[in-house]
Amino acid sequence: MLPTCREVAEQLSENIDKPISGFRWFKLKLHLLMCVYCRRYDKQLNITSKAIKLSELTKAPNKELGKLLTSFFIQNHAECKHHMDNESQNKK
Amino acid sequence: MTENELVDALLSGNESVFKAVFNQHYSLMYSLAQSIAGSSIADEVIQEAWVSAIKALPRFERRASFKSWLLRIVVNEAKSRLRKESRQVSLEAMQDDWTADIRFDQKSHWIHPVSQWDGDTPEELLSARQLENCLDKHLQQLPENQKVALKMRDGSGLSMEELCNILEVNHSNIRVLLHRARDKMLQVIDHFQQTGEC
Ligand SMILES: [Zn+2]
Repeated sequence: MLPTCREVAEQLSENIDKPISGFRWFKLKLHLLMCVYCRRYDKQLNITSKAIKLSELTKAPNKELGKLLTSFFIQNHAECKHHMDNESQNKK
Repeated sequence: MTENELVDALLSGNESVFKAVFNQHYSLMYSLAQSIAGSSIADEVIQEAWVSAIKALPRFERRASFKSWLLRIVVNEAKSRLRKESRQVSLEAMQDDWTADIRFDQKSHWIHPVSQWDGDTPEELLSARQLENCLDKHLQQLPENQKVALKMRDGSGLSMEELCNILEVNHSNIRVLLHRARDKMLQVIDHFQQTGEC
């Protein structure tokens, strides 16, 4: 039995993430060969996926936040180190 | 620098490595925080997530990747912020039933012809500034997990494994989330193609 259009629609998305293989791939291909709507859907789905990629903007790091967290990072490390040194001294 | 070396450097308090890691992951963390908690508090979420991460670093078990670990902290932080703000209408409660999709007949075949789009590439379609805004608007309206999955996978190119780790769901759930999200965005573009309106 060949997959239905609805199943094909799901499999085409799956195929973007991990190529479908074997007999499932064969049945999917066969359906696509016979069904122009699913072929169009396939193309649209791939365009959509790429459009999401294009619309995702790279956001430049917030410098203030970077400074704030860096000082927290250093302070936290100093405290931890102090704490650990004390512990090792207590053991002695 | 391998991930192990990176974690070692952070543990030894290496300032420049910290700055580099902060800068490297900022955009991704922002996108994630914004998807879940909104842009107005995204930076606060990032700040809280980093504070948690810095404190928890000595306990980081090197089984998962550092990046996944960090992003999962962002997700948890964003979700707990959202709960605190409690102004959130449950997005998951939105009608989201793929089986009741009116585009298919009883035999699960397309009822109406699937249309043909004017362009073959997103660049051709997205040249319309309006469409870009429209996509953005509808992306924000997706149920939370769908939005996160789509933005992280198609937007930022994270692997399926990373997504599973970050959202703490299995592969088949991710597949469903991605398919629904992509399908909805496809319909948004399709509507725009047909009508020129968002
Ligand atoms: Zn079909």
